Amino acid sequence: MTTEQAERGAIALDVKNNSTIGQFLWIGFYSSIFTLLTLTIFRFWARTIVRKRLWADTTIGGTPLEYTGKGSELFIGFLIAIVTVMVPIVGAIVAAQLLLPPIYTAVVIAVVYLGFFILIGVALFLARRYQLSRTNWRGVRFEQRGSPWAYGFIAFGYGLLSAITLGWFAPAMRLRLEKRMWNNAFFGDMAFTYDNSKEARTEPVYKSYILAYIGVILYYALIFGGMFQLGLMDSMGSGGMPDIRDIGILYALAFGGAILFLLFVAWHEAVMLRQITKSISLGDVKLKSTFSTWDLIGLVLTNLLLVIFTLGFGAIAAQMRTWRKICRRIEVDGTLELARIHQAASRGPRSGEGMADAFDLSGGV
Amino acid sequence: MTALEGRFHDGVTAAEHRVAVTIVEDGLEIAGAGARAFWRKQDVVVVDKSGDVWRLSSSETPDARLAIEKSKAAETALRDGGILDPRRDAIRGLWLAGGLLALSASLAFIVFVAIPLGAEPLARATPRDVEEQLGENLARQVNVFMRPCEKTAPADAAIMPLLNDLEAAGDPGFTIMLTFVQEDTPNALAVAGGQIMVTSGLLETLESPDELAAVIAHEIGHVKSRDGMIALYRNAGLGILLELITGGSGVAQQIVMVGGQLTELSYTRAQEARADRVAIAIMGDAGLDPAALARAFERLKGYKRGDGDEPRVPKQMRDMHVPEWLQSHPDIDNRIVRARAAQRPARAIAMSPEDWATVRAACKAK
Ligand SMILES: [Zn+2]
Repeated sequence: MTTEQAERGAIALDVKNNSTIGQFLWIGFYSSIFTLLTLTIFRFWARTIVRKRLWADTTIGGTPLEYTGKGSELFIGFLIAIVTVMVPIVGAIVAAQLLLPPIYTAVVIAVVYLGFFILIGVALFLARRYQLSRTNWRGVRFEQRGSPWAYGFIAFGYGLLSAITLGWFAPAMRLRLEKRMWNNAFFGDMAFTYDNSKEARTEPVYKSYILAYIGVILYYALIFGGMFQLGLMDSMGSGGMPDIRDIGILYALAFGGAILFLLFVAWHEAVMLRQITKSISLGDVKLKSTFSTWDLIGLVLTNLLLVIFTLGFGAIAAQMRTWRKICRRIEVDGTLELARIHQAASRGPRSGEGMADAFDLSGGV
Repeated sequence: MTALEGRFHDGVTAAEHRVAVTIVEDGLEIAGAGARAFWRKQDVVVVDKSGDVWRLSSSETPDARLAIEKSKAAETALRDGGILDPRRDAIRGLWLAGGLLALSASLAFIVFVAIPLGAEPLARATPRDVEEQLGENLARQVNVFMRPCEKTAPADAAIMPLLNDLEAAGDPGFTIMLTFVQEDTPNALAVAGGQIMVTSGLLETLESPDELAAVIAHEIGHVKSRDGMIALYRNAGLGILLELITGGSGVAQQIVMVGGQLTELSYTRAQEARADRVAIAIMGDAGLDPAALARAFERLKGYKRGDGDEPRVPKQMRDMHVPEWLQSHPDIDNRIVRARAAQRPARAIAMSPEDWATVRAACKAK
């Protein structure tokens, strides 16, 4: 490749990831130890270390991504969210419970819960804005624009609609929310676009959802059926403790049920991943994923074994394997005029994913 | 001076430039087709050295990147030029480790010292009418799990003179509200703000009115010391802390929780001892034998020894159901010894046999 070619952007933007399990097992191991020693405070730095490694191992057109976030930013963001969001919420609930008559308490708690659901969307949006602003590729930052509050309210509305339709709106919700995110995402000054038109939705989103839906119903039928069969519902109602053997059977049921659940849901999840990926484009560059149902089933099962046999230390390596698989299944078509792409407008937030951390939403990477 | 080959992203566009990098006295000179930059030595940051290139940046242009292929010659040149500085990395690592250590130490300080010690002054600073309101609401919540006994009017009337005497002797600062509740485990508890509950199981286990008087005097001791309020603040503090810990590893979370509970337990012991002292004083002032407290403890101990069966309750309700006497079990013998030592002849009787019969039947109304 020559400089001239690179400047015209005539390079293949192939996505590669060359992370190795050993490296991530090691990170998982020592960050667990440090997290323990620091009464969990190290977790923000651990997450940063993982992201730095993961980003650096991921190359697009031969140039790696770089994660520029800092552990201290995540930590400070978390403290800010605890003080400005979590303490007032918990304070309001506790004060209402302790000082108000029961009827007002119920009203206060209802309002707080409503607000909480809206804040979940806000928190997810803010976390994403932070992550994109801390991602540098070829000296240019990514950026998430748009209003976190608008996203929070819309996500809440969609969530309500999904609940009312007994879950039938859920796939449409996911796609619409992805569209909202991606249509406001930028690489430098170049906008991503997300095509959610009828013509673009070529994957069997709803056909696969029927199977997933049946899977969910079967799963709960199995668990609750098992509980009734063992008479656990009665002993819980009367305040008794179920005995160990019953709990063992219940766990076995839950585990078997989860495997069954996976088989029913995998198709839909793979379809969604492919649908979302193929809807994204950046300039003339179109994405596509060949991630198959069997890829997903194999990945989940092997990750499960990895986590079990490493006594949990392998959780980070498992997340890496998921990301690596996604990267390896992405196909990129088209080229970018890289010299025409200028730096992103905003540097992004000063501190990290506070609210998502406070709500415990940012599980893992 | 040696020139190294590098690939340069200027942080303005996404174009890549092949450049020659010259290490000069006070920094790096970067030059190539369409790109030129000078990075001062003190501004240069090594952002990544894990792959097969060194990736450098400058704090003046934090988005710009310069990648230099790793080689022995390049390493020597960069090290001699003061760009690669292992000592600087080590110092930064030490700072981070020190900072994290200080943070964890302060977290531990909060769990083990600040919360337990701070709760008491906070409780004392809380206005009494706030605590009363709080106690009423708390009592209502406790009553969801421990239903108040029905038709207790005769028992309430029968115990009133004794309650008035104990209250006058103890001067707890709150109006004592006594409720009989339906619950087999023998227990009495003082919620915040003067709310005291006595379980039906306690009425069955105790065998004389002065034992009941001693138990109530002990609870008045808790009311007087505002122990309910102290526990509320302490739990709130630990709750916020738990929030700080969530998302961390399960084991670390457990360590902090157990540590918090252990310190709490030691403070609980001190509170129990204090309530016992108040109870002994109250009993003496009311003309009753303080050693009745020891007899009450003996009976409660006997209850535990008797069937040896833990009450079958959901875990989250355990704390509320297991009598405090059993929770601080290793301590109970000492408490018995201390109460017995306070023995003195009674000048009065706690209540008449008829009234005692009425009180004992408080929860048996059909
Ligand atoms: Zn006590």
